[in-house]
Amino acid sequence: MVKIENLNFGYRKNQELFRELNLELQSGNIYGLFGMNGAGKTTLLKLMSGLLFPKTGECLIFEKNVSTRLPEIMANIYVIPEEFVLPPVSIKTFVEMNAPFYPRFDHTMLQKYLQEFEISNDKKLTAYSYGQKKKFLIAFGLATQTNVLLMDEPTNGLDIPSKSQFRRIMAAASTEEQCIIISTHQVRDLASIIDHVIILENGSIIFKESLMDISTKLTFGKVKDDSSEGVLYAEEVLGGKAAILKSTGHDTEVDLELLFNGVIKNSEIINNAIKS
Amino acid sequence: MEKINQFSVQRLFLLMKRHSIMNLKTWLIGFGAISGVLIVMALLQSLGSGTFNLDSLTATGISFIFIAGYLITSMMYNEIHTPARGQFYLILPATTFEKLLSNWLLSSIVYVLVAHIMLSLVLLIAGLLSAAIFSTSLDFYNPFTEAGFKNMGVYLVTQSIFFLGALYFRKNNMLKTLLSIFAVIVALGMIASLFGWIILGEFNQINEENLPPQGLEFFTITIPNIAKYLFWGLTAPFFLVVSYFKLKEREV
Repeated sequence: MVKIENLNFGYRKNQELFRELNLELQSGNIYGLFGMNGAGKTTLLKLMSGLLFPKTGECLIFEKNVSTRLPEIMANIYVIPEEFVLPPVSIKTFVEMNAPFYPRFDHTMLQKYLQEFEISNDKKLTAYSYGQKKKFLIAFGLATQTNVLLMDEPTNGLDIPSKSQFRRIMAAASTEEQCIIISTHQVRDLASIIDHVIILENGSIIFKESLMDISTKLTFGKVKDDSSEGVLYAEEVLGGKAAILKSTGHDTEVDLELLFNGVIKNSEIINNAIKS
Repeated sequence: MEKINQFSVQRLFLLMKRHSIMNLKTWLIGFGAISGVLIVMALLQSLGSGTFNLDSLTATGISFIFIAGYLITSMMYNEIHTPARGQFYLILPATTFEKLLSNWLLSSIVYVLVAHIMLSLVLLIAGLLSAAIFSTSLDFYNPFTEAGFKNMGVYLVTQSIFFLGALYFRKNNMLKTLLSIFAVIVALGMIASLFGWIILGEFNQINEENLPPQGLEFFTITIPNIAKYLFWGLTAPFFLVVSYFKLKEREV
Protein backbone atom coordinates (compact mmCIF):
# COMPACT_ATOMS: atom_id res chain seq x y z
CA MET A 1 0.00 0.00 0.00
CA VAL A 2 2.76 2.44 0.96
CA LYS A 3 6.04 1.97 -0.84
CA ILE A 4 9.15 4.08 -0.55
CA GLU A 5 11.74 3.44 -3.23
CA ASN A 6 15.35 4.65 -3.16
CA LEU A 7 14.34 7.85 -1.47
CA ASN A 8 16.93 10.57 -0.90
CA PHE A 9 16.10 13.65 1.04
CA GLY A 10 17.86 16.42 2.92
CA TYR A 11 16.82 19.84 4.14
CA ARG A 12 20.15 21.26 2.99
CA LYS A 13 22.13 20.58 -0.13
CA ASN A 14 25.04 18.80 1.52
CA GLN A 15 23.13 17.34 4.45
CA GLU A 16 21.28 14.17 3.55
CA LEU A 17 18.75 12.92 6.06
CA PHE A 18 17.59 9.91 4.08
CA ARG A 19 19.85 8.08 1.66
CA GLU A 20 18.46 5.34 -0.57
CA LEU A 21 15.61 4.66 1.85
CA ASN A 22 13.33 1.73 1.02
CA LEU A 23 10.23 0.78 2.94
CA GLU A 24 7.05 -1.15 2.23
CA LEU A 25 3.97 -1.03 4.42
CA GLN A 26 0.88 -3.19 4.08
CA SER A 27 -2.77 -2.50 4.77
CA GLY A 28 -4.42 -3.97 7.84
CA ASN A 29 -1.50 -3.01 10.07
CA ILE A 30 -0.72 -0.37 12.65
CA TYR A 31 2.95 0.54 12.45
CA GLY A 32 4.76 2.18 15.34
CA LEU A 33 7.48 4.45 13.98
CA PHE A 34 10.02 5.02 16.71
CA GLY A 35 13.21 6.99 16.84
CA MET A 36 15.14 9.45 18.89
CA ASN A 37 14.72 13.19 18.49
CA GLY A 38 15.91 14.29 15.05
CA ALA A 39 15.91 10.75 13.65
CA GLY A 40 13.63 11.84 10.82
CA LYS A 41 10.25 10.48 11.92
CA THR A 42 8.26 13.64 11.21
CA THR A 43 10.13 14.21 7.94
CA LEU A 44 9.33 10.66 6.82
CA LEU A 45 5.63 11.22 7.54
CA LYS A 46 5.74 14.49 5.59
CA LEU A 47 7.36 12.71 2.66
CA MET A 48 4.71 10.00 2.83
CA SER A 49 1.93 12.59 2.73
CA GLY A 50 3.36 14.74 -0.07
CA LEU A 51 4.04 17.67 2.22
CA LEU A 52 7.73 17.36 1.33
CA PHE A 53 9.18 16.12 -1.94
CA PRO A 54 12.13 13.71 -2.11
CA LYS A 55 15.26 14.84 -3.95
CA THR A 56 15.33 11.54 -5.78
CA GLY A 57 13.35 8.34 -5.43
CA GLU A 58 9.65 8.25 -4.72
CA CYS A 59 6.95 7.51 -2.24
CA LEU A 60 4.08 5.55 -3.72
CA ILE A 61 0.61 5.05 -2.32
CA PHE A 62 -1.42 2.49 -4.26
CA GLU A 63 1.39 2.64 -6.86
CA LYS A 64 0.83 6.40 -7.36
CA ASN A 65 3.52 8.96 -6.61
CA VAL A 66 2.32 10.97 -3.63
CA SER A 67 4.36 14.04 -4.70
CA THR A 68 1.81 14.69 -7.44
CA ARG A 69 -0.76 15.36 -4.69
CA LEU A 70 -3.53 14.20 -7.01
CA PRO A 71 -7.00 14.12 -5.40
CA GLU A 72 -7.25 10.32 -5.79
CA ILE A 73 -4.11 9.97 -3.63
CA MET A 74 -4.85 12.73 -1.14
CA ALA A 75 -8.40 11.44 -0.60
CA ASN A 76 -6.71 8.33 0.76
CA ILE A 77 -4.33 10.05 3.18
CA TYR A 78 -4.95 11.97 6.36
CA VAL A 79 -2.24 13.40 8.56
CA ILE A 80 -2.57 14.23 12.24
CA PRO A 81 0.45 16.45 12.80
CA GLU A 82 2.22 17.07 16.08
CA GLU A 83 2.18 20.83 15.66
CA PHE A 84 -0.89 22.43 14.19
CA VAL A 85 -2.99 25.56 14.24
CA LEU A 86 -6.72 25.13 13.84
CA PRO A 87 -8.90 27.91 12.44
CA PRO A 88 -11.17 29.95 14.77
CA VAL A 89 -14.32 28.09 13.75
CA SER A 90 -16.66 25.66 15.51
CA ILE A 91 -16.31 21.90 15.10
CA LYS A 92 -19.46 21.92 12.96
CA THR A 93 -18.00 24.54 10.61
CA PHE A 94 -14.61 22.79 10.45
CA VAL A 95 -16.36 19.55 9.48
CA GLU A 96 -18.52 21.36 6.89
CA MET A 97 -15.37 22.94 5.43
CA ASN A 98 -13.21 19.83 5.23
CA ALA A 99 -15.27 16.62 5.40
CA PRO A 100 -16.78 16.87 1.87
CA PHE A 101 -13.28 16.46 0.42
CA TYR A 102 -13.13 12.92 1.83
CA PRO A 103 -15.58 10.64 -0.02
CA ARG A 104 -15.82 8.07 2.80
CA PHE A 105 -16.15 10.57 5.66
CA ASP A 106 -18.47 9.16 8.35
CA HIS A 107 -20.28 11.79 10.46
CA THR A 108 -21.73 9.18 12.84
CA MET A 109 -18.26 7.85 13.48
CA LEU A 110 -17.00 11.36 14.21
CA GLN A 111 -19.76 11.97 16.75
CA LYS A 112 -19.00 8.61 18.37
CA TYR A 113 -15.30 9.39 18.75
CA LEU A 114 -15.98 12.94 19.97
CA GLN A 115 -18.30 11.49 22.58
CA GLU A 116 -15.71 8.94 23.59
CA PHE A 117 -13.07 11.67 23.88
CA GLU A 118 -15.57 13.82 25.80
CA ILE A 119 -15.30 16.75 23.38
CA SER A 120 -18.31 19.04 23.37
CA ASN A 121 -19.47 20.72 20.17
CA ASP A 122 -20.21 24.13 21.61
CA LYS A 123 -16.97 26.10 21.32
CA LYS A 124 -14.68 27.48 18.68
CA LEU A 125 -11.72 25.19 18.03
CA THR A 126 -9.31 27.87 19.21
CA ALA A 127 -10.99 27.85 22.64
CA TYR A 128 -10.10 24.19 23.27
CA SER A 129 -6.91 23.09 25.03
CA TYR A 130 -4.07 21.57 23.00
CA GLY A 131 -5.04 18.07 24.14
CA GLN A 132 -8.69 18.60 23.22
CA LYS A 133 -7.72 19.95 19.80
CA LYS A 134 -5.54 16.90 19.28
CA LYS A 135 -8.36 14.58 20.27
CA PHE A 136 -10.66 16.38 17.83
CA LEU A 137 -8.11 15.96 15.04
CA ILE A 138 -7.69 12.25 15.86
CA ALA A 139 -11.48 11.82 15.76
CA PHE A 140 -11.70 13.75 12.47
CA GLY A 141 -8.79 11.80 10.97
CA LEU A 142 -10.37 8.47 11.85
CA ALA A 143 -13.75 9.60 10.52
CA THR A 144 -12.21 10.39 7.10
CA GLN A 145 -11.69 6.62 6.75
CA THR A 146 -8.69 7.17 4.54
CA ASN A 147 -6.62 4.12 3.70
CA VAL A 148 -3.46 5.73 5.02
CA LEU A 149 -3.56 7.50 8.36
CA LEU A 150 -0.38 9.17 9.53
CA MET A 151 -0.16 10.25 13.16
CA ASP A 152 2.74 12.25 14.48
CA GLU A 153 3.10 12.00 18.27
CA PRO A 154 -0.66 11.53 18.75
CA THR A 155 -0.41 11.03 22.51
CA ASN A 156 1.64 14.18 23.15
CA GLY A 157 -0.47 16.54 25.19
CA LEU A 158 -3.06 13.92 26.10
CA ASP A 159 -3.77 13.34 29.79
CA ILE A 160 -3.74 9.81 31.24
CA PRO A 161 -7.47 9.04 30.73
CA SER A 162 -7.26 10.44 27.20
CA LYS A 163 -4.33 8.14 26.39
CA SER A 164 -6.48 5.17 27.45
CA GLN A 165 -9.38 6.50 25.37
CA PHE A 166 -6.99 6.87 22.43
CA ARG A 167 -5.81 3.27 22.73
CA ARG A 168 -9.41 2.04 22.99
CA ILE A 169 -10.51 4.03 19.96
CA MET A 170 -7.51 2.99 17.87
CA ALA A 171 -7.98 -0.67 18.70
CA ALA A 172 -11.61 -0.48 17.60
CA ALA A 173 -11.22 1.86 14.63
CA SER A 174 -8.52 0.28 12.50
CA THR A 175 -9.73 -1.80 9.59
CA GLU A 176 -8.21 -4.33 7.22
CA GLU A 177 -8.17 -1.70 4.46
CA GLN A 178 -6.22 0.78 6.52
CA CYS A 179 -2.54 1.30 7.06
CA ILE A 180 -1.91 3.39 10.16
CA ILE A 181 1.52 4.77 10.91
CA ILE A 182 2.05 6.26 14.35
CA SER A 183 5.26 8.12 14.96
CA THR A 184 6.26 8.62 18.55
CA HIS A 185 9.05 8.48 21.05
CA GLN A 186 6.59 7.61 23.81
CA VAL A 187 6.75 3.90 23.08
CA ARG A 188 4.83 2.78 26.18
CA ASP A 189 1.70 4.64 25.05
CA LEU A 190 1.35 2.46 21.98
CA ALA A 191 2.42 -0.96 23.18
CA SER A 192 -1.08 -2.42 23.06
CA ILE A 193 -2.18 -1.07 19.69
CA ILE A 194 0.65 -1.47 17.22
CA ASP A 195 1.43 -4.68 15.43
CA HIS A 196 4.66 -3.68 13.68
CA VAL A 197 7.71 -1.82 14.93
CA ILE A 198 9.84 0.42 12.74
CA ILE A 199 12.89 2.07 14.29
CA LEU A 200 14.55 4.95 12.57
CA GLU A 201 18.02 6.24 13.36
CA ASN A 202 19.98 8.92 11.53
CA GLY A 203 17.70 8.68 8.54
CA SER A 204 17.94 4.90 8.19
CA ILE A 205 15.48 2.19 9.10
CA ILE A 206 17.51 0.02 11.43
CA PHE A 207 14.66 -2.27 12.53
CA LYS A 208 11.36 -3.35 11.00
CA GLU A 209 9.58 -6.36 12.39
CA SER A 210 6.11 -7.49 13.35
CA LEU A 211 5.31 -7.79 17.04
CA MET A 212 4.47 -11.44 16.43
CA ASP A 213 7.97 -12.16 15.12
CA ILE A 214 9.51 -10.18 17.94
CA SER A 215 7.58 -12.07 20.59
CA THR A 216 8.37 -15.40 18.93
CA LYS A 217 12.08 -14.81 18.48
CA LEU A 218 12.86 -12.76 21.56
CA THR A 219 12.13 -13.06 25.23
CA PHE A 220 11.83 -10.12 27.55
CA GLY A 221 12.66 -10.74 31.16
CA LYS A 222 14.92 -10.02 34.08
CA VAL A 223 18.44 -11.31 34.59
CA LYS A 224 20.97 -10.97 37.38
CA ASP A 225 23.83 -9.91 35.12
CA ASP A 226 24.20 -9.29 31.41
CA SER A 227 26.77 -12.03 30.96
CA SER A 228 24.03 -14.64 31.42
CA GLU A 229 23.47 -16.96 28.49
CA GLY A 230 21.35 -15.68 25.63
CA VAL A 231 21.32 -12.05 26.72
CA LEU A 232 21.21 -9.77 23.70
CA TYR A 233 20.79 -6.55 25.59
CA ALA A 234 20.31 -5.64 29.24
CA GLU A 235 19.83 -2.47 31.21
CA GLU A 236 19.70 -1.62 34.90
CA VAL A 237 16.24 -1.48 36.41
CA LEU A 238 15.00 -1.55 39.96
CA GLY A 239 15.82 -4.96 41.42
CA GLY A 240 18.07 -6.31 38.67
CA LYS A 241 18.49 -6.04 34.95
CA ALA A 242 15.79 -5.99 32.29
CA ALA A 243 17.00 -8.00 29.34
CA ILE A 244 16.23 -9.01 25.80
CA LEU A 245 17.11 -12.63 25.37
CA LYS A 246 17.04 -15.13 22.57
CA SER A 247 13.71 -16.88 22.62
CA THR A 248 13.37 -19.31 25.48
CA GLY A 249 10.25 -20.81 24.01
CA HIS A 250 7.96 -18.94 26.35
CA ASP A 251 5.82 -16.13 25.04
CA THR A 252 6.52 -12.91 26.91
CA GLU A 253 5.02 -9.50 26.51
CA VAL A 254 7.17 -7.29 24.28
CA ASP A 255 8.76 -4.49 26.28
CA LEU A 256 8.85 -1.83 23.54
CA GLU A 257 11.03 0.55 25.52
CA LEU A 258 13.60 -2.14 26.18
CA LEU A 259 13.45 -3.28 22.57
CA PHE A 260 13.94 0.29 21.37
CA ASN A 261 16.94 0.81 23.66
CA GLY A 262 18.40 -2.53 22.59
CA VAL A 263 18.00 -1.78 18.89
CA ILE A 264 19.47 1.70 19.25
CA LYS A 265 22.42 0.24 21.19
CA ASN A 266 23.10 -2.61 18.77
CA SER A 267 20.59 -3.22 16.03
CA GLU A 268 22.70 -5.92 14.38
CA ILE A 269 22.52 -8.32 17.34
CA ILE A 270 18.75 -7.92 17.72
CA ASN A 271 18.10 -8.16 13.97
CA ASN A 272 20.27 -11.29 13.69
CA ALA A 273 18.46 -12.90 16.60
CA ILE A 274 15.11 -12.34 14.90
CA LYS A 275 16.29 -13.47 11.47
CA SER A 276 17.96 -16.62 12.81
CA MET B 1 -10.30 6.51 -9.87
CA GLU B 2 -9.14 8.61 -12.85
CA LYS B 3 -12.34 10.66 -12.73
CA ILE B 4 -11.56 12.02 -9.29
CA ASN B 5 -8.42 13.74 -10.69
CA GLN B 6 -10.41 15.69 -13.28
CA PHE B 7 -11.50 19.27 -12.65
CA SER B 8 -14.43 19.33 -10.23
CA VAL B 9 -16.74 22.32 -9.90
CA GLN B 10 -17.99 20.93 -6.59
CA ARG B 11 -14.47 20.91 -5.12
CA LEU B 12 -13.86 24.38 -6.55
CA PHE B 13 -16.89 25.74 -4.69
CA LEU B 14 -15.92 23.84 -1.56
CA LEU B 15 -12.47 25.45 -1.66
CA MET B 16 -14.02 28.89 -2.18
CA LYS B 17 -16.44 28.27 0.69
CA ARG B 18 -13.61 27.05 2.96
CA HIS B 19 -11.49 30.13 2.23
CA SER B 20 -14.44 32.51 2.63
CA ILE B 21 -15.45 31.04 6.01
CA MET B 22 -11.89 31.35 7.31
CA ASN B 23 -11.46 34.96 6.15
CA LEU B 24 -14.98 36.38 6.25
CA LYS B 25 -14.42 38.25 9.52
CA THR B 26 -11.34 40.09 8.19
CA TRP B 27 -13.11 40.95 4.93
CA LEU B 28 -16.19 42.28 6.73
CA ILE B 29 -14.06 44.46 9.03
CA GLY B 30 -12.23 45.84 5.98
CA PHE B 31 -15.44 46.56 4.06
CA GLY B 32 -16.97 48.13 7.19
CA ALA B 33 -13.98 50.40 7.73
CA ILE B 34 -13.86 51.53 4.08
CA SER B 35 -17.63 52.12 4.02
CA GLY B 36 -17.41 54.17 7.21
CA VAL B 37 -14.57 56.30 5.86
CA LEU B 38 -16.44 56.95 2.58
CA ILE B 39 -19.66 57.94 4.36
CA VAL B 40 -17.80 60.29 6.74
CA MET B 41 -15.91 61.79 3.77
CA ALA B 42 -19.18 62.33 1.88
CA LEU B 43 -20.82 64.02 4.84
CA LEU B 44 -17.81 66.26 5.54
CA GLN B 45 -17.68 67.21 1.86
CA SER B 46 -21.37 68.05 1.84
CA LEU B 47 -20.95 70.05 5.03
CA GLY B 48 -18.09 72.06 3.52
CA SER B 49 -19.31 72.62 -0.03
CA GLY B 50 -23.01 72.07 0.29
CA THR B 51 -22.94 69.61 -2.61
CA PHE B 52 -22.65 65.86 -2.93
CA ASN B 53 -19.61 65.33 -5.18
CA LEU B 54 -20.18 61.82 -6.52
CA ASP B 55 -17.21 61.89 -8.95
CA SER B 56 -14.65 62.63 -6.26
CA LEU B 57 -16.13 60.04 -3.90
CA THR B 58 -16.24 57.43 -6.67
CA ALA B 59 -12.57 58.05 -7.47
CA THR B 60 -11.68 57.66 -3.77
CA GLY B 61 -13.84 54.53 -3.48
CA ILE B 62 -12.23 52.94 -6.53
CA SER B 63 -8.77 53.70 -5.11
CA PHE B 64 -9.86 51.96 -1.90
CA ILE B 65 -11.14 48.99 -3.93
CA PHE B 66 -7.78 48.65 -5.68
CA ILE B 67 -5.73 48.95 -2.48
CA ALA B 68 -7.99 46.62 -0.47
CA GLY B 69 -8.05 44.16 -3.37
CA TYR B 70 -4.25 44.04 -3.55
CA LEU B 71 -4.16 43.58 0.22
CA ILE B 72 -6.72 40.76 0.15
CA THR B 73 -4.90 39.13 -2.78
CA SER B 74 -1.58 39.37 -0.94
CA MET B 75 -3.16 37.55 2.00
CA MET B 76 -4.73 34.75 -0.09
CA TYR B 77 -1.98 32.25 0.70
CA ASN B 78 -1.20 33.25 4.30
CA GLU B 79 -2.40 29.79 5.33
CA ILE B 80 0.38 27.94 3.51
CA HIS B 81 3.10 30.28 4.78
CA THR B 82 2.52 28.96 8.31
CA PRO B 83 3.57 25.28 8.33
CA ALA B 84 1.26 24.45 11.26
CA ARG B 85 -1.73 25.66 9.19
CA GLY B 86 -0.48 25.07 5.66
CA GLN B 87 -0.24 21.31 6.01
CA PHE B 88 -4.04 21.02 6.20
CA TYR B 89 -4.41 23.03 2.99
CA LEU B 90 -1.73 21.14 1.09
CA ILE B 91 -3.15 17.69 1.93
CA LEU B 92 -6.69 18.66 0.89
CA PRO B 93 -7.80 16.32 -1.88
CA ALA B 94 -8.15 18.87 -4.70
CA THR B 95 -6.04 19.55 -7.75
CA THR B 96 -3.50 22.37 -7.79
CA PHE B 97 -5.56 24.01 -10.53
CA GLU B 98 -8.70 23.94 -8.37
CA LYS B 99 -6.75 25.38 -5.41
CA LEU B 100 -5.32 28.13 -7.60
CA LEU B 101 -8.55 28.92 -9.42
CA SER B 102 -10.62 29.10 -6.22
CA ASN B 103 -8.31 31.65 -4.63
CA TRP B 104 -7.93 33.61 -7.85
CA LEU B 105 -11.69 33.77 -8.45
CA LEU B 106 -12.29 34.98 -4.90
CA SER B 107 -9.64 37.69 -5.04
CA SER B 108 -10.36 38.80 -8.60
CA ILE B 109 -13.78 38.40 -10.22
CA VAL B 110 -15.83 37.77 -7.07
CA TYR B 111 -13.99 40.52 -5.19
CA VAL B 112 -14.18 43.14 -7.92
CA LEU B 113 -17.91 42.56 -8.47
CA VAL B 114 -18.79 42.50 -4.76
CA ALA B 115 -16.58 45.54 -4.09
CA HIS B 116 -18.18 47.60 -6.89
CA ILE B 117 -21.71 46.65 -5.80
CA MET B 118 -20.78 47.52 -2.20
CA LEU B 119 -19.30 50.84 -3.37
CA SER B 120 -22.49 51.77 -5.20
CA LEU B 121 -24.53 50.83 -2.10
CA VAL B 122 -22.26 52.83 0.23
CA LEU B 123 -22.36 55.83 -2.09
CA LEU B 124 -26.15 55.51 -2.24
CA ILE B 125 -26.34 55.50 1.58
CA ALA B 126 -23.91 58.44 1.73
CA GLY B 127 -25.96 60.31 -0.88
CA LEU B 128 -29.22 59.63 0.97
CA LEU B 129 -27.71 60.78 4.28
CA SER B 130 -26.23 63.86 2.65
CA ALA B 131 -29.56 64.66 0.99
CA ALA B 132 -31.42 64.17 4.25
CA ILE B 133 -29.03 66.21 6.40
CA PHE B 134 -27.68 68.86 4.01
CA SER B 135 -30.42 68.80 1.35
CA THR B 136 -27.92 68.04 -1.40
CA SER B 137 -29.04 66.57 -4.70
CA LEU B 138 -29.15 62.77 -4.94
CA ASP B 139 -26.79 61.09 -7.39
CA PHE B 140 -26.17 57.37 -8.01
CA TYR B 141 -23.02 55.50 -8.94
CA ASN B 142 -23.47 52.83 -11.58
CA PRO B 143 -20.39 50.57 -11.71
CA PHE B 144 -21.56 48.78 -14.85
CA THR B 145 -20.49 51.40 -17.35
CA GLU B 146 -17.63 51.34 -19.86
CA ALA B 147 -15.34 53.20 -17.45
CA GLY B 148 -16.40 50.91 -14.61
CA PHE B 149 -15.62 47.78 -16.64
CA LYS B 150 -12.25 49.24 -17.66
CA ASN B 151 -11.42 49.84 -14.00
CA MET B 152 -12.38 46.25 -13.21
CA GLY B 153 -10.20 45.06 -16.10
CA VAL B 154 -7.19 47.03 -14.88
CA TYR B 155 -7.71 45.56 -11.41
CA LEU B 156 -7.95 42.00 -12.77
CA VAL B 157 -4.69 42.38 -14.69
CA THR B 158 -2.65 44.10 -11.98
CA GLN B 159 -4.08 41.86 -9.24
CA SER B 160 -2.41 38.84 -10.86
CA ILE B 161 1.01 40.30 -9.94
CA PHE B 162 -0.02 40.48 -6.28
CA PHE B 163 -1.43 36.96 -6.59
CA LEU B 164 1.99 35.62 -7.50
CA GLY B 165 3.52 37.76 -4.74
CA ALA B 166 1.13 36.14 -2.24
CA LEU B 167 2.52 32.72 -3.17
CA TYR B 168 6.14 33.72 -3.66
CA PHE B 169 6.79 35.82 -0.56
CA ARG B 170 6.24 34.36 2.89
CA LYS B 171 5.97 37.60 4.87
CA ASN B 172 5.00 41.22 4.05
CA ASN B 173 3.79 39.97 0.66
CA MET B 174 2.17 43.22 -0.46
CA LEU B 175 5.15 45.44 0.37
CA LYS B 176 7.57 43.00 -1.22
CA THR B 177 5.40 42.78 -4.34
CA LEU B 178 5.26 46.59 -4.56
CA LEU B 179 9.04 46.76 -4.16
CA SER B 180 9.48 44.15 -6.88
CA ILE B 181 7.15 46.07 -9.23
CA PHE B 182 9.13 49.23 -8.54
CA ALA B 183 12.44 47.43 -9.19
CA VAL B 184 11.15 45.97 -12.47
CA ILE B 185 9.80 49.37 -13.62
CA VAL B 186 13.15 51.04 -12.83
CA ALA B 187 15.03 48.26 -14.66
CA LEU B 188 12.71 48.45 -17.69
CA GLY B 189 13.01 52.23 -17.68
CA MET B 190 16.78 52.00 -17.72
CA ILE B 191 16.77 49.43 -20.53
CA ALA B 192 14.34 51.56 -22.55
CA SER B 193 16.50 54.65 -21.99
CA LEU B 194 19.61 52.79 -23.10
CA PHE B 195 17.79 51.39 -26.12
CA GLY B 196 16.50 54.87 -27.03
CA TRP B 197 19.94 56.40 -26.59
CA ILE B 198 21.52 53.78 -28.85
CA ILE B 199 18.87 54.21 -31.57
CA LEU B 200 18.32 57.93 -31.38
CA GLY B 201 21.89 58.96 -30.63
CA GLU B 202 22.19 62.58 -29.70
CA PHE B 203 18.52 63.29 -30.42
CA ASN B 204 16.40 63.20 -27.32
CA GLN B 205 12.96 63.56 -28.84
CA ILE B 206 10.81 61.28 -30.96
CA ASN B 207 9.45 63.52 -33.70
CA GLU B 208 9.40 63.84 -37.50
CA GLU B 209 12.61 65.89 -37.50
CA ASN B 210 14.67 63.14 -35.90
CA LEU B 211 13.09 60.01 -37.38
CA PRO B 212 11.94 58.74 -40.79
CA PRO B 213 8.13 58.11 -41.04
CA GLN B 214 8.52 54.34 -40.44
CA GLY B 215 10.61 54.94 -37.33
CA LEU B 216 8.15 57.49 -36.01
CA GLU B 217 5.29 55.06 -36.55
CA PHE B 218 7.24 52.33 -34.74
CA PHE B 219 7.77 54.51 -31.67
CA THR B 220 4.41 56.23 -31.52
CA ILE B 221 2.04 53.48 -32.70
CA THR B 222 3.66 50.02 -32.79
CA ILE B 223 5.38 50.12 -29.39
CA PRO B 224 2.32 51.48 -27.50
CA ASN B 225 0.19 48.84 -29.25
CA ILE B 226 2.59 46.06 -28.28
CA ALA B 227 2.58 47.38 -24.70
CA LYS B 228 -1.23 47.43 -24.73
CA TYR B 229 -1.44 43.84 -25.98
CA LEU B 230 1.17 42.70 -23.48
CA PHE B 231 -0.71 44.37 -20.63
CA TRP B 232 -4.21 43.18 -21.51
CA GLY B 233 -3.39 39.84 -23.08
CA LEU B 234 -0.29 38.45 -21.45
CA THR B 235 0.22 39.93 -17.97
CA ALA B 236 -2.49 38.05 -16.09
CA PRO B 237 -2.00 34.67 -17.88
CA PHE B 238 1.76 34.88 -17.33
CA PHE B 239 1.53 35.58 -13.59
CA LEU B 240 -1.21 32.98 -13.12
CA VAL B 241 0.78 30.27 -14.89
CA VAL B 242 3.85 31.06 -12.77
CA SER B 243 1.61 31.01 -9.66
CA TYR B 244 0.30 27.58 -10.65
CA PHE B 245 3.77 26.08 -10.78
CA LYS B 246 4.75 27.87 -7.57
CA LEU B 247 1.76 26.30 -5.80
CA LYS B 248 2.40 22.89 -7.34
CA GLU B 249 5.96 22.76 -6.08
CA ARG B 250 5.06 24.16 -2.68
CA GLU B 251 6.22 22.10 0.31
CA VAL B 252 5.29 22.61 3.92
